[in-house]
Amino acid sequence: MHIDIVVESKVGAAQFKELGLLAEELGFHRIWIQNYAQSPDAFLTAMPLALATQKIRIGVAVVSSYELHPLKIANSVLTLNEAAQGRAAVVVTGGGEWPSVMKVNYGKRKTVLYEALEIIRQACGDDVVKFSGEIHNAQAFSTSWTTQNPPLIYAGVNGPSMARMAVGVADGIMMSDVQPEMFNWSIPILEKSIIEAGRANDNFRLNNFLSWHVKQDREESFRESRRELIIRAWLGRRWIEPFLDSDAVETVRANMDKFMQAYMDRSGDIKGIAPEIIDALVEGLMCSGDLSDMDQHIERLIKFQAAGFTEIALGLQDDPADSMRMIAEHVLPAMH
Amino acid sequence: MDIDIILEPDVTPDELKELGLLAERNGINRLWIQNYSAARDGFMSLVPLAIASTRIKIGVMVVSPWEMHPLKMANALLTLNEYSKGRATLCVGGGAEWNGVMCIPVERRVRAVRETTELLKAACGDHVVTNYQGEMYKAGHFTAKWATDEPPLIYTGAGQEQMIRMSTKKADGIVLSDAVPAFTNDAMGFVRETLPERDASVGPFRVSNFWAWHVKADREVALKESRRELIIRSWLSKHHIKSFMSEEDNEYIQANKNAFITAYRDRSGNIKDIPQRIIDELIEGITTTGDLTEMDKHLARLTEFKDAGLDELALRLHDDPADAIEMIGEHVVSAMQ
Repeated sequence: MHIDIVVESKVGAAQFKELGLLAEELGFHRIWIQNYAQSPDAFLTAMPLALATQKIRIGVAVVSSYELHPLKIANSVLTLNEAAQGRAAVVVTGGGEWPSVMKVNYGKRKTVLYEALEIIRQACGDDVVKFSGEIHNAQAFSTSWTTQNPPLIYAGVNGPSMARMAVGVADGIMMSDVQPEMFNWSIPILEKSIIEAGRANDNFRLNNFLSWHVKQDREESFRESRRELIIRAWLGRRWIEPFLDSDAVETVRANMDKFMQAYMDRSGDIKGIAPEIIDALVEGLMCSGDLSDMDQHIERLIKFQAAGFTEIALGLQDDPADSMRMIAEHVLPAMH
Repeated sequence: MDIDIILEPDVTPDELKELGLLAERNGINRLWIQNYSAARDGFMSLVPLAIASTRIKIGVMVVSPWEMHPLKMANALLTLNEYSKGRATLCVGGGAEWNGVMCIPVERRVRAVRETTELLKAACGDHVVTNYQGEMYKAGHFTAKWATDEPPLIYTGAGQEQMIRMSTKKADGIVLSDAVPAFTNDAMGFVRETLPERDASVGPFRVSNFWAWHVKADREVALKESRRELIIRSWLSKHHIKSFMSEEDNEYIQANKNAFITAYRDRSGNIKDIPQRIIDELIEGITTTGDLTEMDKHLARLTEFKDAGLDELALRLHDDPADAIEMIGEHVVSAMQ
């Protein structure tokens, strides 16, 4: 199982380039850059790194066709792919943060995502695109200017229905915040879909975003974890039920604003929620703590590997270079 | 009048960086890159130049809200602006080539560009869009507090009266397209009439014109390139060429565009079965074409634009752009100051 890292575009192009070069030196498989509405554009920010590196793969996660037409997504990832000499990838989703700031209605999300993936898949191939769908259309789109092997197109999906659809059209899937305790609803249908689609031997990629907060300073790690807790799948029921009893689940769902406040004010101070609830969520949904916790995190990663994940994307926050060095020293050797 | 240049993203980002740095050394005001569907992304292509340069302005033209939501445009523009330390510009348009490949009809063009401009000005100026309720676009809870440089400039691609008047009130500037001096004078009339309605808080208003430049050491090469690209001079619309073509010739051109299209598509520059007189008049009328021996004539033409009131002129370069940049730097930039 390959180890990727994920960094937010808020670091800017210069730092992202330095982090990517360090990641390449340390032996990481891929560096992803996150596409948030409140940060610099991810594709632009990735360009200097793409031009400077030789080996590490570079991806943008996640982009939706609500914010960019699928042909525009294709154009962006192809531009990045040329700069990266064939090492680019993109995760296309039916949601993400952007639709909320654009105040768009999701409509038929599965159809929207399927059509976007199909258009992007065609656009990244050799033929001129021609597609007529319910939501999106495309014609006469030519990529004769490209020279590299096509970029990889991942679908950012979690649920069984979306995953089944994505298997038929994407190069891989990136799930988000899925944990071993959730494999029972996420993996069996996916495995079945991969076999039914005839892709069992097709190098289909299965990835999962996993939030990583392990630091030298244990308290600092937990503060960062608490701060970022709300964006762990927006604490959806299926993500929190494995770790909480039903009363605690309802408490969390009724008090989302408290988690959001700790995120917005960057304090990590989730006021009015019992510490044991917070601890259980941090324990279940994130890799937190210090070096003394490393063995249990590696055990968790091995469970992903055993379940068929081909890649895992560790989401880094503060001091990403320190995190990368720690992961390179302790995790990469254990996963090879 | 400042001199800009326009390039197509058919060069790599690294090549673009070198051309931009050359333009910077030659006193060019701004490097625009065109946004075509069959080429690299313009915003992304400009990133290396944005980081490497120190003075030259950079811009992307023309992007429409049908291909990317106005907030997404704002995000890309602000990112480019940060990397260039406050030197980025975007020209918003009402849809063109991209709409064709996306199969999206252009409807309510002026309204779409107006709402896009309003959203861009708010997002790039205030770095906040709390609640925008347009008829075509909506937005809320958008912040760009990470952006710290002087706001980027928002131009529109305006050619017709309604778009020019709207833009004069809302945008930082407009870029006319292939506007001959008579057309430019008309456009400037609309601008001058509308300027009193412009809120002072919007800031200074600039007018530019996209103008084809085919001046080369070899006159024949220049003429061939000029013939090849002739059809994309505003699609030789009747409106654009009426000031220098007779009504009869204009009708003939409208009925025989395929010959021009073929010369563009096969890159031959051979416009078959069209009288040479008409081709010559078009080249003379809607482009600047020739060699160095005609530079005084070329400068006199550019001076007409300056006299009409243009603040900037954006010269579209094609083959051998480095040669063209050096020539413009040596002969044009200082002459137009």
